[in-house]
Amino acid sequence: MSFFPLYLILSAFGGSVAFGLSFLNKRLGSYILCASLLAGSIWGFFLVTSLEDSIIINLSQGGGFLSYSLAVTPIVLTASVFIYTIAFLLSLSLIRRRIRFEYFFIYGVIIFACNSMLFLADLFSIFVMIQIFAIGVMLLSLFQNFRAGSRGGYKYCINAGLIFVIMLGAIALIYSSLGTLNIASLSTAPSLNKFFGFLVGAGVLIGLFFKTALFPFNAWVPDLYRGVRSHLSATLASLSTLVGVILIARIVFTAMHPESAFGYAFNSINFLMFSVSIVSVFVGEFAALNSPDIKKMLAYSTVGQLGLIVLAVALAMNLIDKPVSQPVLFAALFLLIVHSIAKPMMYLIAGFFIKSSGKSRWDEMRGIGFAYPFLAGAFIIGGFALMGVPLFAGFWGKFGLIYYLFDGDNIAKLGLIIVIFTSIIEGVYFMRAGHSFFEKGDTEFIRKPVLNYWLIVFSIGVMLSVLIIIGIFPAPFSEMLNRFALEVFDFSAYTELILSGGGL
Amino acid sequence: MSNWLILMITASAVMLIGLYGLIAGKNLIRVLLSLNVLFLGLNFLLAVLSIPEDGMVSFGEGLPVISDPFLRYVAIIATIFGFCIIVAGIVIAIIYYKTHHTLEVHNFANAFSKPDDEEVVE
Repeated sequence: MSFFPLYLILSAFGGSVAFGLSFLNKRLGSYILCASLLAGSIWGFFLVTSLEDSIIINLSQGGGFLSYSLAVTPIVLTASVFIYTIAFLLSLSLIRRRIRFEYFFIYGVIIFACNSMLFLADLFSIFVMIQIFAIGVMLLSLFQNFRAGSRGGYKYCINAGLIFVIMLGAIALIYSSLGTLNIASLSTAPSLNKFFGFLVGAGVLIGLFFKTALFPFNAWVPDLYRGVRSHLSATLASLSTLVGVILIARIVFTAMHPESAFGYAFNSINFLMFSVSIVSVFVGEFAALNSPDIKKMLAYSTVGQLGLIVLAVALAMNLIDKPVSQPVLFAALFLLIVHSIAKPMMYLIAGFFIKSSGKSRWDEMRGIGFAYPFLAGAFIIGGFALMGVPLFAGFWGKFGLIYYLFDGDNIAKLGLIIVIFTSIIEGVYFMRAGHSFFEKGDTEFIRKPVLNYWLIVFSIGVMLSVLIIIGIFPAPFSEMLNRFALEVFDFSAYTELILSGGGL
Repeated sequence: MSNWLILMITASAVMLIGLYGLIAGKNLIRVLLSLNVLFLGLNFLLAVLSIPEDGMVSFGEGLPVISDPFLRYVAIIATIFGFCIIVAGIVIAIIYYKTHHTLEVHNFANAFSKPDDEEVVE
């Protein structure tokens, strides 16, 4: 474990080596990036199997306020392995492509930022990683297509700048009033005034809403997701949102619970999460329904899905005094993981179809399913998993939510209606696109072959297999997510771990 | 009125000017410059917040009396990140100008716009 920081920076290191060696051979960079991500997955797997109990790693840059802690728990480490693995599978699509050298380095850095956010335990370090991630995404927006990418990148830049001001202002006010930014210390700190607590709590959460692309912090989503390479769209839709929701759950349950520094503002913060998530569900789902562009449809669908997941976290927060709270949080995490596997798979397929057909609208891709039946079938199965069709992975998450919310109060019933509503709307737009792939039409526009066909099929096959296996045998996966939900919900062990390590 | 309060009001005023420019700006570069003013106001605010209202603090008996350094450290880090965001934004704006031949904000202010005329991106 003494080499743990090296594990975290492995992707950035791999990206920088890829950047350096790309000068020798333009296609070498993608191999090195993939190798470093695969090495990260394997190393992480061995760390998970050898880690018996949670540990704290203190990193110091001269002591005092410059020291910070990494809280390594088996479950968070598993999430980190998941990030490396998904990034590796996505990056296989880059192999043998002629890509500018810098892409590999910046991509490695954003994977490093994603991983680091999971382990950091103080708000300022998390803020720094969010900014590293945001700057990386801004720069990567310019690599594929100057015209569409610059449009999305500029919107992202302005949003990131505003979030920078709001989140840093909130962090500064928290530190000025409480003298700490450590999540564990905030958990036991004296309670702030209701209005002030809500103001600074919302400031911190707004930064994470931006990361999870929730309304109204999602103005950049359609243009950016459409304008960048599918590899990056998939990374943003999967890994960035995964980390964002885990951080939201960790912060609201550990640092904003009723006995914490934000105790008086707990209900107001819960209401804010409800409002933002419900509006996100409606805006995202209806916009996806009206979007003819396949990548935009997936982008808006991400907004709606994330709205639903954050809504489930808010419902768990609302039911915090009841035994049903932890299972609801478990269902939210289940939906999150399914989304983080299904959505990147669908983005890869969308990118492949766009490359193959030269068209970006799903209604102009009629007949492409006959040319690529496996990929078109995988797209439909991904849609099934997200909708929550039985025997597919998302079913257990949505079933869990419906089951636990059925006997709840009016707010729980409202959540229940929204869960059913999202499933119906998603069914309409995913199946509509899936159906058009198998409609008979002029297929002369389909250009074969596409570079990396078998590597892309391999990546999609792995993700598809996981979705089907989880759908049929959910027990081992559910057990792991239950432990994660328990760790987030029963935060005392986590706070003890962090406080034993000192730090900020 | 204490010096601390005057500094706080000044920092807030600079932030408000930046926010106004951000909302009212019609040119991509001007919007970025307004964002920069907003960042400056924020850094100023961080520096002011690092000075306690009632004077300076001591970290122990016999130690020199200094103000809390953490928020100044935050301000330095924020300056670096703010600079990076603005530079990245200006690069993007330049590329946007080269491809769209305009810097007008209203061309893409609508979040639900459908730039279907743009080329296909895989």
